[in-house]
Amino acid sequence: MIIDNMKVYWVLLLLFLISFKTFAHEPIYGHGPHVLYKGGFAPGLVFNSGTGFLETEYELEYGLTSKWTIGAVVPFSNASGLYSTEYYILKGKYRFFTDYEPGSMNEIAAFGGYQLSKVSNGITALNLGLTGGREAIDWYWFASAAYTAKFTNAALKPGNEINYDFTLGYRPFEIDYYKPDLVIFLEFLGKYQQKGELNSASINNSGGNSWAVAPTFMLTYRNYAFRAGVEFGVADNGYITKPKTNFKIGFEVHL
Amino acid sequence: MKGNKYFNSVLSAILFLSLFIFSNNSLSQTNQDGQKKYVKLQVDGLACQLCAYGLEKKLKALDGAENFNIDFKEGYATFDLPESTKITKEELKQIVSDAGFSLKSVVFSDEPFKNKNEKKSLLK
Repeated sequence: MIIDNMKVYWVLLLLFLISFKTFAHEPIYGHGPHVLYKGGFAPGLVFNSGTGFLETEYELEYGLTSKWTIGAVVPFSNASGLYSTEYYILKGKYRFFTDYEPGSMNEIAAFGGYQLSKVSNGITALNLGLTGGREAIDWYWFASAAYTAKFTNAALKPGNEINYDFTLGYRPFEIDYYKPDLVIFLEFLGKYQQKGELNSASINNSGGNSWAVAPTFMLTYRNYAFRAGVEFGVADNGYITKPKTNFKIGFEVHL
Repeated sequence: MKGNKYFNSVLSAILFLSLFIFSNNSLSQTNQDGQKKYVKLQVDGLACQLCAYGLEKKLKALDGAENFNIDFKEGYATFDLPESTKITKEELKQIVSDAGFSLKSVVFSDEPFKNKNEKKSLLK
């Protein structure tokens, strides 16, 4: 009985931590359609922390073509008590629409990720989504929606998810190529989680919706970027709780 | 002993700085002596430094390319090349495309670009 309770606890913690990692050069909580240039490398480091948890993500992305970026994430977290990694993520993004204008770009991209669990009864997940938006020298917007299907050998299977977000961005100072460049974002984040299953039977007291808002920013200097922000849970319904207040800090470089 | 360590550190820093300044000066001198051509690309989609860096990196891979700059407001990227470096509009178009942008036009000039109304050979 105690072991079963422990399993539920770990699965719930993992659930909380599962969120397919963002690509470089987009909102730090949400998603955006931008991809790396052909042959470009982008190593990055993201810290995510709040009450009682710390997660560090080591990321590496590569521009396979000017439209297609692939990447890998190795997250370390203290979810299991030890600061360790319990899963790896492989991800990709393909930008299939671009509308270029002087000083701006409208884009749409499809993205996906595969989360591979290290532990035998861990959660393997597949994530597929669409994202679009506009980057311009004065303001930005991004929107995305993604479906995450979860698979596990454990008796308790968490519900699949739909995550969606909308981001507005504003550049308060005129952009200059050789001066630091600041963009401030306001990210709106939503999640719908289907009911979980215990021994293939639907769990009534599971599933629901949650919403959050995150003021964030991106400070770049040529090929170096620093992103940070705080996420505040706003509302929830059903049997999931809104995200606890947490912050993210990210560093990345384009090589 | 402590004073010596301090002295050595200061000396090393001065030597390092001198080398850095010397190497930059020598580079500038070499460039001033050679014949240059100045290139101006009208590129659509330039909206942020991080994405524009890909264009800089690809253009700087051209033999002798330097003094790269971007005017985001006007949508121009400018850089210098040694006169001996041959490059066509098609090659530049491919470079800009690989960087994730769209090339609209190319202007070559014998003089540095100062304003947007230069009367040079416009390759459409």
